[in-house]
Amino acid sequence: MKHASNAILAAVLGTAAIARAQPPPDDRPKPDGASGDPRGAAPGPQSPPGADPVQPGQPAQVVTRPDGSVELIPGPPPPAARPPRAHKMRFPEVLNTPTGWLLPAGVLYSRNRIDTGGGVSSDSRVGLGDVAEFGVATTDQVHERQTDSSKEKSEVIQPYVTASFRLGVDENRLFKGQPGVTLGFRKSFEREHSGSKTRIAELTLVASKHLGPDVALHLGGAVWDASLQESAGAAMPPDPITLHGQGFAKQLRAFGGFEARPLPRSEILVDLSWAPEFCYGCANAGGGPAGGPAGGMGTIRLKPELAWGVRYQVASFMHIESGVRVPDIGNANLLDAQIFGQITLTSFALSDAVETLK
Amino acid sequence: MRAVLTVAAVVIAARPVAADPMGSRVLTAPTAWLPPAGAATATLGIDHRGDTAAFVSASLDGLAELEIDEDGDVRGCTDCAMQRTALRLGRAAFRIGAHQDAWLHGMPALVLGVRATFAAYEPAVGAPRATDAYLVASRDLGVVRLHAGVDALAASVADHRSAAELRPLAGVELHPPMYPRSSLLGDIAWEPELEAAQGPVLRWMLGVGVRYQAFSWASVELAVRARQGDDLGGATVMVRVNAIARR
Repeated sequence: MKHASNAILAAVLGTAAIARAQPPPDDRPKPDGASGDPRGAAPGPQSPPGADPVQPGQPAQVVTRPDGSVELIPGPPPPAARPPRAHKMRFPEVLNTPTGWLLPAGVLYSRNRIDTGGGVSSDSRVGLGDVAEFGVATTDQVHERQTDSSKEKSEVIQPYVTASFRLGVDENRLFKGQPGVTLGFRKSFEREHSGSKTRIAELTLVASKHLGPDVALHLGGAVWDASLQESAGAAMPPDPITLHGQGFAKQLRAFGGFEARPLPRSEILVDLSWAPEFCYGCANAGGGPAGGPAGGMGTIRLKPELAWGVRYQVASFMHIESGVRVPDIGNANLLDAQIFGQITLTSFALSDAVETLK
Repeated sequence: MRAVLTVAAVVIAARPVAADPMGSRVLTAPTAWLPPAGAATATLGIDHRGDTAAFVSASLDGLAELEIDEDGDVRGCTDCAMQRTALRLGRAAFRIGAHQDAWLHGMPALVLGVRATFAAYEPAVGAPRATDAYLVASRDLGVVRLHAGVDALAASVADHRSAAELRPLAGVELHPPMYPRSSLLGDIAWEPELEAAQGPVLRWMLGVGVRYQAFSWASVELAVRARQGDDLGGATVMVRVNAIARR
C-alpha cells in the first residue's frame, strides 16, 4: 500500500511538473516543428524566411494535408479600423439670424448669452438626420414700450420662450455649387406681460454659401407675424392686433449675414436681423379688425438689428462669442447698443453613439 | 496739407514692428493696440479725490478684445452750479481690429470699438448712461507712438437723451531712448457730462502723464487730467497700475 501511495504521489508530481512545463493554451493551433510536421522529423515544404503567410493578428485557417502536414492559410483580412469621424460643425445661427446650415444628425447645441442691456437668452437644439433641426429657446429680442416717445427706452420682455423647427439641404448636396438652404419656423408661447398678451411667429427661408474655405455669406427672407391683445385680463378684452392684419409688406423682411475666418480658430461675424416691438400706448393706423380699430391703441413694429462680433473656438466643444448688437439701427440709436458675450457648447456624443450603432 | 503728407510719409517709412505694443488706452483716449491671443489684462487706478477705476479685459485670439470696467470719467450734476460728481458707471467694451502692417506695409493698427453702460453705482443723477463707438488708428514709429481717431458719443440722463455726436480722439506716446522703461503720455478725448436739468453735454478731457514699465508684465502710470470748464484746481492727479497675463 505504501508503495502504491509513493507511486501515485510520484505520478501526480511528475504530471504536474510536465503540465507546468507546457506553454499556456492558445486559441490558435501551432504547427509542431519548423515544417509543421507533427512528427517533427520529415521535412516538408517550407516557407521562405520572412515570408510568413499569416501576419500577426490576421485570422488564419488550419488545413491538414494528405501527408499529415498542417498548413495555415491566411483568412480574409480583418476589417480596417474605422477612422475617427470628422466632426464638421456648421452653426445654425450667425449671431442673431439663422443660417442655411443645419446641425449634423444627433448633434446637441446649446448657446447662452448675456448682454449689457440686461438681456439673457438661451437656445438649445438638436440635429435630426442631417435634414432637420429642433430647438427650444428663450429670446431677448422682443421689446415693449408704453409710448412712441423717443425719450423712452424700450424694455425687453423676457423670458420669451420659443420653439423652432428647421429643415433643409446641406451645401453642395443636390448639385455642385448649391448653397445650403433651410426653411425654418419659429413660434413663441403666449406671453402675458404688463396686462397684455403677446405672441410672435417667424417663417424663414435662408441660403448660405461658402465663398472659398474661409468666407461665407447668408441671405434670407422672413415672414413675421405677431399679435398683441391689451387688457387681456378684462371681462371683455379688445380684439387682438396682429401684424398680418397690417398687410403682407409689414410682415416681409430680408436679412443676412457674413462670416470670415482670418485665423484658424476665430471668425468675424456680421448680421442684420429683425425683432418685434410691441407698443401699448401708440396709436395704430387702424384699417380692420386685425390691424386694430382706427384711432385705437397698440402697434407692432419690426425693428432692424445690426450685430457684429467674433467667434473664438476655445475647445472642440466650446466656442465663445462676443460682440456688439445695435437694437434699432434704423434710428442710428447708438445709446441702446449692447455688448454681449455668449458661450456655445456642442456635443457630438449622441451623434457618435448613433453612428456606432450603425 | 504738407504736414499731413509728411506725417503719412513718416508713418509708411517707419520700421516694421514685430508686434504691437500693449495698452488699450493712452490715458483716456483708446488706442488701436489689441492684446495678443490668450492674454488678459487688468488695470486699477485711483485719483486724488478718491475716485477709483478698474478695467479687466480678455483677448479673443488676438482678433478682438472684450473689456469690462468701472470708472468715474463720466460726471453728473443735479445742481450744476455746484461741483460735478463722478458717476461710477459699469461699462463693457468690445474692440475688434487689425494689427500694424496686417493688410499692407505701413498700415497703422486699426480698431473699431463700442463701449456701453450696463450699471450705475450710487448715481448722483437719475438713470445715467453713456455709449460711444470709435474708430482709432495707432502706429508705432519707434521713439513716438501716434494715435488718432474719431468717436461717436451718445448719453442719456433722466428723461434727456442726446443723439450721437462725433468728436476727435488723439494721443501721443514718447519713448526716450535713454529711458527704455519710461514713456511720456498725452491725449485728448471727450466724455459726456450729464446735467440732470439740461441733458448730456460733451466736454473734452486733456491728460498728460508718464508710464514706467516696472516689469514685463506690469507698468505704473502717473498722470494729470484736466476737463473742459474746470479751472486748474479742478484737475485730477491719478495713479494707475496695469498688468498683463499671457498664456
